[in-house]
Amino acid sequence: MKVYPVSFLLAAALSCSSAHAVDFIRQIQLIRGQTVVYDTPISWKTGDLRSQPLKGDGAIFQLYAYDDPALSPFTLADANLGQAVHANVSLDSHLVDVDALGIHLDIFLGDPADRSSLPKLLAEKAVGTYIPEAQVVITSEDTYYPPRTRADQPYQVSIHINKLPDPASADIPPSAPTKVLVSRRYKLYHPTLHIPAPNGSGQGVYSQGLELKMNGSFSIPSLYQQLPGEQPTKSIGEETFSASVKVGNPSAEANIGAATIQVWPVATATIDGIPDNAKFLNVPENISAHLTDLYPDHVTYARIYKGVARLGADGNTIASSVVQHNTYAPQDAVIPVTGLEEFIDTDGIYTVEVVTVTPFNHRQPERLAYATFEVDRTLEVRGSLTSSIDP
Amino acid sequence: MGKNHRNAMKLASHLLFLLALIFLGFPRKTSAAPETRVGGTGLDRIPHQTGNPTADAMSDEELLKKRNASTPIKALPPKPSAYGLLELSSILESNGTYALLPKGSILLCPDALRVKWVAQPTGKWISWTDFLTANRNWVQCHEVSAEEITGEKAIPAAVLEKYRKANLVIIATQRGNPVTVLPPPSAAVKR
Repeated sequence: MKVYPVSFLLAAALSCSSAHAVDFIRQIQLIRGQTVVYDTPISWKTGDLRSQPLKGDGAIFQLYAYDDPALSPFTLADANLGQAVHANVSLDSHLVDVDALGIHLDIFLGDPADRSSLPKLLAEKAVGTYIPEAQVVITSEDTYYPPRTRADQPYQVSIHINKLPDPASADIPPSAPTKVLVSRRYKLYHPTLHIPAPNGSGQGVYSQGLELKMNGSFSIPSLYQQLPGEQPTKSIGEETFSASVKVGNPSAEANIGAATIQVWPVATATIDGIPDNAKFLNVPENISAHLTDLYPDHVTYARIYKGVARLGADGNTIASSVVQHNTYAPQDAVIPVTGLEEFIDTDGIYTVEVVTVTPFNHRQPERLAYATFEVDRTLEVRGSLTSSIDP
Repeated sequence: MGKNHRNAMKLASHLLFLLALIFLGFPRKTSAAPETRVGGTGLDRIPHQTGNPTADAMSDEELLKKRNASTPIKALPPKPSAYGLLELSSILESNGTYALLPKGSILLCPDALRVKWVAQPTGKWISWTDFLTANRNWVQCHEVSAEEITGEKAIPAAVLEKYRKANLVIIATQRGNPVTVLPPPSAAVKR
């Protein structure tokens, strides 16, 4: 058996602090088709971890974290994340760059009664002399990190394969992988908590898969999310592309690279206070708009213009209605649509519309809802005055 | 004096040049830069270059049409991992807590303590180091060599016999961390 005296430095730059979360790295060494497992606890904040020497057919590194469910996730988020990253409490979805941000960011928001939960796998990587390297990158029109997109927007995937052994070469042992398998997985989030189910439900793989047999770059220029659900525009969850190779015996797959993108729903709005075919005897008041699932990075506001509803009309922005967020999860809001008298100078037909500006559509507004009404302030009295006086 | 004056001018021009370089060299933030997009309300929240709406929010029907343009994709249940945590772990349990150890790292387990070695975890997970601290009275570690891990060399029978008499659960470790010990290949063949 060949022994490669390589000391693999696993740069686990663990920018963590809390004593509550406990983590370990599991190194699975493939030797003669058998697995030797080393567990190394991590108890320091930053630094390098010296792994066991790589021997045999390769090794799989897995990073596990366990969070004490009794710990308040928000305290942890406030204390540790600070300004360095956007406090992403849905990091349970493994979207953290483990090397860069540390593993304590994996915050458990599940049922506190679930005390027997297992440590969670945050990252997995197979390395070895004959194990190829893969880098998976997912991008969308939103440049935010970790990658995210809106349910109606496509995203791009690129996969770079390196060091895939050439099967024609005589030096390659028969057990060496000769192709990279790319699979696409999904994980659904809770529609209002915006986190995956703690018990692992709502997860699966797609029937779509790829086999790459050559080194180089491979890209998919435009892909729409395929999260299962009744309303595709309201899909919420994440999709992962992972590259794996068959290693060990029996041929089991080990991950060599992966990337994940979060999918947030398309916002919806309802305008309250303007019924269908509404006719007001004065400038309408008490109008508001209910906004649901606003994209994490958005500016949303109401506009008013004279005439019936038409897309792209010149209009006036209603100052009271403007709301903006720049955060990590979708938002809901109720916006007051007041001060319309400023824009309603003459009687006639008017339209109020709610628009949202997000990283998509070239940061130009998209119309979420509109309502048309008539203002008619001339009071017409139709009737006659009679008096009935008893004779 | 004139020379001094010229030097001062030269210095001033250098300074100006440096200042200009610093000013131009740094990427200037535009109004679209993410740092300026903070939450809030009011007219000034709207980016300057925003025009009239150019699109309606996409409906479910439109989206379905777009995403079904490519080959239909089915959602399937998840595939179990061959290198899963429980698949490659031995579980020791005590007082409502459990520890996950590499599969094959328990060298000896006397019958009396067999109940502590369970197939499915229950209770609260604690790290191996915490578990060892809490259960030192019946768990002990034995440091193994690289050859012993791979099974090239067997663990001396005398050592194992000594532990057997002590009635302890013995965990194989390397540099203090638990590790699998493979059976010697020759022994496997003999069996």
